[in-house]
Amino acid sequence: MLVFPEAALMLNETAPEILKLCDGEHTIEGIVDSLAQRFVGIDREAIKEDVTGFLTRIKARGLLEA
Amino acid sequence: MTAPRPYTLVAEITYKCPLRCLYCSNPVNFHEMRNELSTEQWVRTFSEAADLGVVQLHFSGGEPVVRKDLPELIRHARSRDLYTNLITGGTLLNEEKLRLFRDCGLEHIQLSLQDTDRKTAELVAGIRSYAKKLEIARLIKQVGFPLTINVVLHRLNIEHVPALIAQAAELGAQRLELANTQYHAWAQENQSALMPTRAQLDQAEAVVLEARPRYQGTMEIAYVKADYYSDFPKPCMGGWARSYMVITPTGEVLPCHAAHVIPGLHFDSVRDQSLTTIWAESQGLNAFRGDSWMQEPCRSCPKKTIDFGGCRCQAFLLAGDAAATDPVCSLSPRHDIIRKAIAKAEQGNGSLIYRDPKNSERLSTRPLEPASR
Repeated sequence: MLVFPEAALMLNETAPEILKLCDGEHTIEGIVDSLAQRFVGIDREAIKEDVTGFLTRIKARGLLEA
Repeated sequence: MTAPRPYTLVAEITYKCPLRCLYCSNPVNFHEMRNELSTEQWVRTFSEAADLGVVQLHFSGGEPVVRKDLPELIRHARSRDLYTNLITGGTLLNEEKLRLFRDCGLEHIQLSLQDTDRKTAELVAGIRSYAKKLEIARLIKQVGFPLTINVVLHRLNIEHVPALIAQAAELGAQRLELANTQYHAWAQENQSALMPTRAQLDQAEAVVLEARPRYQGTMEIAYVKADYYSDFPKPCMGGWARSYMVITPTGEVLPCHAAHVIPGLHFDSVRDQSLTTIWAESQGLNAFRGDSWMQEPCRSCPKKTIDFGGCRCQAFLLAGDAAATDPVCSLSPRHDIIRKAIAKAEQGNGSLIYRDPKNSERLSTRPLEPASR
């Protein structure tokens, strides 16, 4: 669950894994690489699409700072 | 009935407050409730709330910064992994306290501002506070907190929404909450001075809709509508005792800030019972859970799972029956009350009654007369 001032988002299983990598160190490519290494057998492009989609959505809601 | 999982606890840790805002949501008779919970009682309550599934804790009041044990309460809440938000008027803050709160783990601060115009802001707050609040807003950002600025809207400031948006952005707020006054408690006492006109509301909404895309990703602009002018009621608190609970300074567990006003309901205190027991068994909390209490037109209404029949306190205050359809609803047989209240308030220019202990004492001795005021 991602909790913020007036609400919370119920996250799926992979979203927390993405958020943990949003540490100011990893680039988007870095996040995708790290996940691709852990989720073997899943297409890297598909992971990248998921990651950018998720991060774009939470950035638009002001929940992520670049 | 099995009690639902609560997500949010609003802890009103004190009714003491240096501000005297005309629209305060604290009960009009707050001066009678001076026996505040101890540190230990709050600590136990926060632990029980976490066990029940609460994830979000708002420190509110009154002015929560009045309590000397606030750092300890924050620290304990964080140790139970509760997300902590401080809802403050700001006037008692300074850099040292902000750093201490941050070091205790406080995650977010919500600061109230009354207006961009100093004179109106101080007329509404009832004390000199404008410059101090702006200074505190800047300090909050400097110390590194995410900031929500909260402005209650009413006739005297609603035309300043463009300036309020620009000011919040300039102060670096991540979130601006523009909330129209809810006419309970002190706001109800001051309704004829505060109620905006339809034209003012339409203009404010248009400004918000136009501004939102410009600030997307940098500042969220939340806008809480004026429900007197809506066709359907608000889903008050997301349903009675469903996901929110409010605990008063004396420990009573309420479904909202205002439920005190409804006669015949008994609300238990965490002084006497565990929060777990109260959440499941309290007569007051169970009174309007689910939909078996509903009357027509709510009972057969397809929107009943969306708005839960609106606000119970408003139904009592305006229609004299807490189980009635919220009179705000255009389907309510008592909807005429709202039209009359608007007409009266629009031409009224009532005297101002400040929220302070003296007025609280004076008003507490007056018998409550719903629907006739």
